[in-house]
Amino acid sequence: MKKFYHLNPSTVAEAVSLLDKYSGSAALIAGGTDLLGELKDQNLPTQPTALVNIKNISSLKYITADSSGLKIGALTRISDIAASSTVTQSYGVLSQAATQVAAHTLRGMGTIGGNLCQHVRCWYYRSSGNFFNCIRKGGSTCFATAGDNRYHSIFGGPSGCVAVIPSDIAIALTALGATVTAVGSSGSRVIPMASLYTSLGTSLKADEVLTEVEVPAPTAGTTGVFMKYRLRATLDFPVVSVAAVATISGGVVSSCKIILGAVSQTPYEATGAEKALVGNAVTTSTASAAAAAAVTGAVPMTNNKYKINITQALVNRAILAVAGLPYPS
Amino acid sequence: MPRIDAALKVTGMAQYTGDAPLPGMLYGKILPSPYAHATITSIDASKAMALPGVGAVVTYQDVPKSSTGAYIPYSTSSGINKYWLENTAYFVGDEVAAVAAETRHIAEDALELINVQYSQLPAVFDTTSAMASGAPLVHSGTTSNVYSTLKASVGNATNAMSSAAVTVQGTLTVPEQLTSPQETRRTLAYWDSEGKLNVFDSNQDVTGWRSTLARAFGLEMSKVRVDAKFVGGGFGCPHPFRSPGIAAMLAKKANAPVFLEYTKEQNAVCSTRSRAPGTYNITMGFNSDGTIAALQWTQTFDHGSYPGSPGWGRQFGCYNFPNADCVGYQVVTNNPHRGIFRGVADPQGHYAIEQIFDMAAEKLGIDPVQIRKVNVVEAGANPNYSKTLYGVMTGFGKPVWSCDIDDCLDQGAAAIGWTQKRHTPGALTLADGRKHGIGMAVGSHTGGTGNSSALVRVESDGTASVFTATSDSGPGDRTVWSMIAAEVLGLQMKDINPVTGDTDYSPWGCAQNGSHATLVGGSAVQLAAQQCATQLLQLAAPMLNATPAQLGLKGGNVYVLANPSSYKSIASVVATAPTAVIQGTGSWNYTKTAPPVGQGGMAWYFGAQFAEVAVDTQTGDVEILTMVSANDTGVAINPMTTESQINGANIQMQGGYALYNEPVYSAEGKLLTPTDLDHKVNTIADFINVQPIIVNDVEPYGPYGAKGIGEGANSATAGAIANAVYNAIGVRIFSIPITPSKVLSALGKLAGGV
Repeated sequence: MKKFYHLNPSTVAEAVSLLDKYSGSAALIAGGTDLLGELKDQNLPTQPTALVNIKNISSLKYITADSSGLKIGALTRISDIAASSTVTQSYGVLSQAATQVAAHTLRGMGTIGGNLCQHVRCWYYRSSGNFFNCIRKGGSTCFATAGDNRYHSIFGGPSGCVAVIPSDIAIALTALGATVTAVGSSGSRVIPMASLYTSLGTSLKADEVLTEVEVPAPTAGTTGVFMKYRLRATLDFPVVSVAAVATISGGVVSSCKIILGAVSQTPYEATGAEKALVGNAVTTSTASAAAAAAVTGAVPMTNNKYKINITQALVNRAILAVAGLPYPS
Repeated sequence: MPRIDAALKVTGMAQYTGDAPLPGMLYGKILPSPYAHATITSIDASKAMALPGVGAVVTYQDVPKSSTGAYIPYSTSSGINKYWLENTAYFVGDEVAAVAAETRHIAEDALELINVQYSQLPAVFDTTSAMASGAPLVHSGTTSNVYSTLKASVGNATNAMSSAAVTVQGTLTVPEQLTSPQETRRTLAYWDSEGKLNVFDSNQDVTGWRSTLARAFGLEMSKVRVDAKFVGGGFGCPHPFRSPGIAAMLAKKANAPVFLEYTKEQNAVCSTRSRAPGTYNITMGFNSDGTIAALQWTQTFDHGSYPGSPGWGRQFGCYNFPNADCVGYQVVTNNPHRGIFRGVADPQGHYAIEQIFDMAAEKLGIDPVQIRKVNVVEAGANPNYSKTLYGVMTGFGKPVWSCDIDDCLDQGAAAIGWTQKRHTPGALTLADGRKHGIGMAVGSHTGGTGNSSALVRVESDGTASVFTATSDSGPGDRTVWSMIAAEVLGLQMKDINPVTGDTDYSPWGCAQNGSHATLVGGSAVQLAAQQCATQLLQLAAPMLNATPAQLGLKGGNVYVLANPSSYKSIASVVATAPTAVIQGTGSWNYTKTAPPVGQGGMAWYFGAQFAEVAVDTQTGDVEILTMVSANDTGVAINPMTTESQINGANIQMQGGYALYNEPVYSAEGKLLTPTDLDHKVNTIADFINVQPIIVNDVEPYGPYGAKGIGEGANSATAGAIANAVYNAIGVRIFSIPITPSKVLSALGKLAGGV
């Protein structure tokens, strides 16, 4: 690990000012569960000059809810979200995602802001000593495309990078139609989850701090499910995840969001599956058709065809679960 | 009996290497090679040395080039001698140089200031490429990357195969598996004012490394101390290749204590002996009663960059092969070195042959349990043992003294409900839509091929200390040795003080490997304790008006066997000894071929595992539902730690080896899966509770009838799971790990085609 300055702002404004001062060469640290690994492995081309420690900004730790929705401060720990009865009762998809993040000890360290901003797990990207200076790091090659891509994108990569978003929370929040607030030197802005990620990272600017997550209150009749397929029973990133949220009225799906995780660089909205469901009752056949539609257009690579099978199976099961139907039927 | 050091470990009081920094200690770091194969054309450390806080830099130029010295263990026997540091890098991550500095940060910064110029050489990463004609040679001066071709034959396999009732053929592959101990490689070394080298190391072979270091540095053995009291996980990893040597070189050059640490990634590639990956081509002929007619076997192991184990697996000695032709290619490549991970070649070999047995059983219409029964070896004197296949392979002339595999098979089958649950492959669908499968396999291992010594000292207060240099790398040997001494001396466990893992304070001890620390190390302790017991009885005889033969030891007392109310405390007996202390020594010597005369057996472990799985045919997911592990361990001296070994073996092998573990390398040879997360090392949440069965057979040459369990318990796991998966889906997958991708592919369901 390289030496760095460790700075301790006590307000968001101070943090923003420090980020601005270091203009891209500082990194935010909260739980540190992602960042410290990268600092030790030195997988990135350059190491941060300074770490801006935001753990002391106590105003960013909260979970509040009212009739308009749920607000979670960026420094709220994953374990607090998983344990929150408010979240469990009214935002079950988020609760289910939070409980499946990493393992208990890491959930007690990691924050929701950090979870959303974590870097991809691509093993070429993560390889120590910046062994592979890939597209995501400013290079010109995606090593996974020609290499071992068993955990990589099944929906291509517009910028040439085929790494996938590892966050479980981001998938749930996208399905819930959440937004995040980012505060920077030019002020504060609200970013819909659907716009938070780019094919090479996040849309946050170098001087911005993610401060809050806001989830609109669900309309009546809305239910949701988060499912994650991972190899290990705990402490593992998703091979595929799915968050399905549907509003069912009169036995018919009036609206739904089906968001896939770990299949693309960003949360992947399975619009084909959504279209297949809206206006229909959830049955084994509509669920099955929607699941097939979810993977239409997949472009698997050498080692990751199986992810299409898993995606389709998970979407199928999630839809049935949202409607309270048993699996297998 | 809980481990005697359990409280120390769980409260963090046990001192592992580096837990107690020394005054003036420097931190050591390794410079890894960025290339899979390259010669160092120049190396300039002057800038690194000029960095304030740097104490020493060592390169290949600093290695003591004594004729018998600073070699990587096992390399010499292959004729490919490699020093602790070389001027050629043989794999990505190979140690090129090392730095010692006042802080870890300075050491890391100094690594970047070492200017190394490399000349890249062509590299090979798999055995097929390495064995191809005209392949680049991994080691200059050799003529082939096949550094050894093993051959063994008995009978006439060709003829017997042609007349066999059925023949079965399979080509199977097994992956590399990283050892992944909790404690990564670390050594603390210093040279004291008298020129003595002191090395604290996470080490399974302190006596071996003491000799190595003495030879390398031209020191008397008495001038080297190696100490490994606590080791954070063994599995073969704490058989370091180089780090004690490199740390000693750094400490000598810096004239300061040096604590050398490897990163998790360096631990994975530089210093562990991962399980060797390989390929098996097997044809077996069977008679109509299920007995083996003939075996034709070719195995090819990728040993990585430096030669080493494994060779033949114990499956060849577990079964009777009247006719066999076996060939083994031991191949070097530009991958990290592989070797003696727990069980060495047995989990691979049994995985392979247990599939073949199942295929044959199906063809012949014989129960899989039965086909094992008619082929496994029997215990007892066999004057022609050296002419059996395993005898030919290994030169072992001694028969199998104890074998109770039939009981393992029967008890295991009963426990899992084998006859009730067995069904036609693919025939049973569970209520949740998944396919149910049940399978079994046999495993085997040997232990006892080592020598060891111990000293037992009974103190004037009636307590005793047990001294043996073998380190307890986790199996609970300190507890077992203490139990043996307590049993012989009639003392309570609280009265035993084990002093282990330190070459300065204990007699020469066996390496903590080969599943023989209980058998070999325990026998030495038993003999030493018996010497003390004899002296105690002799001293007590006049005090109790009896002959020694009329006395016994129990409850801290010497007592008259015929009249237990007549006794003297051991303390009062010891007080009458000239120095108020009683000492006994014991040595256990193993010989390969001579018949055992009181000492020197090789003990065979046998076991049977049964597994039930559920296979999700939509996702390819395999879930292990239940497992039974029945083990012929000899008499289990400590059933609690014996069960721990069974559980631990299964944690590593069920989800791990059978389903998930698979190191992945880039095209350049860089390990992409250096962490437990990447390598999918099983967590406790993945562990499927195994029902352990201990078949208390009696090993005639083990202490109190004991033999080893540490390695054998993992040899049947993957085979049992693979056979269960076949039973579930009706398609056999000839490689592990059994990933979702392979399952879907086998079912012809893989999206986008196979």
